Amino acid sequence: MVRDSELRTHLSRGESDAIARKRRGRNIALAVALLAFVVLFYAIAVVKLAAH
Amino acid sequence: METLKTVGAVLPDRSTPDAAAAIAVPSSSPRDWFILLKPRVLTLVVFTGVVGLIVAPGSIHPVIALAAVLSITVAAGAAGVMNMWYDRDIDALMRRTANRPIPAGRIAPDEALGFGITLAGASVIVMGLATNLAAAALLALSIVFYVFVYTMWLKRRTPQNIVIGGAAGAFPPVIGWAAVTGNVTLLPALMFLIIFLWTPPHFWSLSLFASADYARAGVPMLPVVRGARETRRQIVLYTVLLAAASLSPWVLGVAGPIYGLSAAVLGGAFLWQSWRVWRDRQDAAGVSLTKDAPAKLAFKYSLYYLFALFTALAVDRLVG
Repeated sequence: MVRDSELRTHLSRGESDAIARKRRGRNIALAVALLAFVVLFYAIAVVKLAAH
Repeated sequence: METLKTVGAVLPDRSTPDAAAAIAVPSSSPRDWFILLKPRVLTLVVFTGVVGLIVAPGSIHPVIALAAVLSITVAAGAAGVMNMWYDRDIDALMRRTANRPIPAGRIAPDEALGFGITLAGASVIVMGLATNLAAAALLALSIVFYVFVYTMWLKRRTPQNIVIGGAAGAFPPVIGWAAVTGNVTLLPALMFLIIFLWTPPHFWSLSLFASADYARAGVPMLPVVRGARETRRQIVLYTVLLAAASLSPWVLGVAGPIYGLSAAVLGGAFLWQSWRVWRDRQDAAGVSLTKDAPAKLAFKYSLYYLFALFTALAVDRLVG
């Protein structure tokens, strides 16, 4: 695996920014997935509690 | 891909797919992660799982049903991810799969594995919490079977790989049924059997016209090991078994006449397709002289067949 710092020494500023943008996008996607997971658990809990 | 090319030019160590992937991590797009889930396979898995939910006796809250379908979908996707992770070396050798995200270097193998394990764990937990232990256990079993039994054990060792491995793809309707009822009875077992017997003619039709790819990668698919003629013979054999098994829910009284009639017509058409594959014009070695046109048709038909058959089962249950 190539380290972040190693990549940056080989990349131009533009390329480095592009990588940072991609990583930010991935982090946002992860946050959305986690939020969806929380909402799903909440919905399941509500249905289960209502059934009892 | 611009980033990939630029980075590759600066750090040219591309001797292995892993090395290429390590360099190319930042170039992956959301689409690449989606492709890792094998979306085409997912369609069929989700559909048969939903039919399992529909035909099961009893009722299920829509939110719980949604969670169950989501779990089946994510579990199948996770199994696909882990399959692509393990098969990245042979995927790189086959034209059909060389551009997948891992062999093409857009996603690092260890990241893909982490992604797959996370999805697999999450899907089983959600299924267990939303429905019941039986459905969650079956879901976990289907993932384990696909990854360990099919991908790691059988695929590279025996031409019967997809016959036994086909069981992994036969789980979804059983899981859907178990999500509603908490158990497995005759109808889900028959649905399992139908998909199990459907898999060989479906995949062998594909492998007839993709055998060069499999041979290059050293995957012992039936046409590579036993030749095209024997493969055509076994396609017919399994289609006969499939046509007979597809009638069994009606014969045994767990499905009605709408399903029975549909199964008879669809099975008859599948037999006709496989007969055409068997009688394809071929040379002395069994190589097709029609560029495997009947096999291509049979492959397409097999997809429609399973959709239509399970649709008929759902309609039969909803109407009857």
